[in-house]
Amino acid sequence: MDATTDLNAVYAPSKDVVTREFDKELIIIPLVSGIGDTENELFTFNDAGKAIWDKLDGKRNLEGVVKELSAEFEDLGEKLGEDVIELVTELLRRKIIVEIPRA
Amino acid sequence: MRTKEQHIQLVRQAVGWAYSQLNWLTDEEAILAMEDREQLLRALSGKVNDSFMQNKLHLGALSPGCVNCGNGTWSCLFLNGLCTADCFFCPQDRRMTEERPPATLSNIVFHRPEDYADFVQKVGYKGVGFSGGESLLAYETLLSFIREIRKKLGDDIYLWIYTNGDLVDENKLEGLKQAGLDEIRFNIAGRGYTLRPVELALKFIDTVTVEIPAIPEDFEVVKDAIGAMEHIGVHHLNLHQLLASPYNYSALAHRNYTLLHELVGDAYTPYSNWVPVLDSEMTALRLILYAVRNSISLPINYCCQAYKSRIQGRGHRMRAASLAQNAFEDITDSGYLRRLMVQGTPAMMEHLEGVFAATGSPDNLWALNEDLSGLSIHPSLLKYVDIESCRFTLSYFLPHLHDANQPLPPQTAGTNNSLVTTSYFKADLYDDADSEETIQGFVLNPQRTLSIARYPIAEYHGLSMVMIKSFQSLFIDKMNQREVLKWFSENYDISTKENIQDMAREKDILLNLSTWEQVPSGFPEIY
Repeated sequence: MDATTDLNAVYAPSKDVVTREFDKELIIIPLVSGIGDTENELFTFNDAGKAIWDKLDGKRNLEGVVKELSAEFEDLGEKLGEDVIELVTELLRRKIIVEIPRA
Repeated sequence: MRTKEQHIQLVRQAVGWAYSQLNWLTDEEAILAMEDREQLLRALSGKVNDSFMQNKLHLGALSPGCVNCGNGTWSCLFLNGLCTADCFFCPQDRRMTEERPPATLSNIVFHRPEDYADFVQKVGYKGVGFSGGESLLAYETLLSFIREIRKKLGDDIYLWIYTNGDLVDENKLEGLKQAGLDEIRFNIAGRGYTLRPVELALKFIDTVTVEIPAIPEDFEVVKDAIGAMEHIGVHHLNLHQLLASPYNYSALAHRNYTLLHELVGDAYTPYSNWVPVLDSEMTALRLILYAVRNSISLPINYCCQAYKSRIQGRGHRMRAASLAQNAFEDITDSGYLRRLMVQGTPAMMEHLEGVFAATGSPDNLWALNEDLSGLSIHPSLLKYVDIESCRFTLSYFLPHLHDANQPLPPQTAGTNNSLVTTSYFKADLYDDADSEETIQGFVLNPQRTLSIARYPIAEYHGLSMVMIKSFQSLFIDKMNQREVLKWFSENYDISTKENIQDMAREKDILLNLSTWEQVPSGFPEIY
């Protein structure tokens, strides 16, 4: 089933991944099969990706993530929201992030 | 660890031209079959036992013979190749017309009962099953082997025979009892499930078992027979999963059975193109459920192919490995020999030898290579390896006890067996008999010596210290896999881009090592 992205949902890194930094890139290392490296390659983030990743810490919903990033990167305009949602959808599909159950 | 696709490809190769003539599951059918089996297992949950690393499902107690099998302390001697019956399900070659001398599964021939008794004693078996063809066609031979083993091992051995019951009579049963037989197992499926010989045997032999394949069309007949077996006092019912072999492919295809992509054989068996039948597994589980729901007290054991491949295979390897092992090697949980070698300069090796000696460890726990560039060490010495920069090699060997005068089973030398199928990072893999590393003699008595061979099956070079520490945590200290992988991922040196690729590959190796290190448990995936 395809993962669906919800602006009201709160997302956090899966407990089944470890992150490492190399040469300004963030590398996602899956701990179990079926996560992250679906094409047998490690998932990596550049600076922009890292900024999004840092906000996906289980403390704010996706709408909040977009708002905070929009404030920090004003020059990127409306496209930023689309990029964030696209990335989050991909991370969900790869099970690199998970949705925090709502109380 | 093989992928599903690799398994399917292996089975295609092994079955050969017949593959297209036989029934296999589509993906959708496989999902439905898994759901059906899951439903049966849920209904049985809590009412049956799940022994031998959750590979054997049984209701009530197992026969002592089956316990020996599960413990890896069982030898089977095939007395001849002839049979009085011609059962459609028999996976053996029934074209044989001449007597064959008694031989083990790995084709060690024993003309003299004395040699076999020495073999049983020296290898340390606790149980022996005599099979055929039809074992009672070789009645006098059978008696001589039973008597000799009983004479040599006394009560320290459990003996049973397999028969179809055709030749059973009071005189033979009395003779078997006097010789020291503990158990008789009847396959009555080829004779309409008649209990007549079984009933007779109950008067003479301490333990009487009915051991039959679970035949889907016979479900109702066997259901009724279960009640009759309980009534007359049969001690155990063993239900086998039907196996398809080149000798019964057409018979099973004619019955429209569905076959599974599971290979039966191991490297030392001649069964590399045998595969199990799905419908038979479902039938066995339904029969056990019937017994549960009807409060039948007859112990019933389902002997599935996964159990045989995993646990019987492990047992054979374990026994051979214990004979072939060097002090600096270990035997893995799945019965392979494992060797760990530190690689480095001669100076580093000399340093390590000094470190080990200073700990007071016995000096047979390490061995230096001829070119002084590698030191094979027992894993217990790993904690003293103080050179972070050194690299390691992990090697796995298949131990095999055989008769040097007999040819090895052909599949041992083939490429479509279960030895090695995937390629690994910096690994040299071996899959032919010519790569046999060492052969050592195994003396049974002044007249008879066997050979212990070891086949290199996988070798992983250039492994990092982090990888080896993770390997130790995972497979020797049995730590949680997730925690070990977390530690591995957090501590792997990634100071260069190449290191990142190496890390990914070493992680794959770490996970793939379970092929040689661990025995799987539970029912395998259906496909």
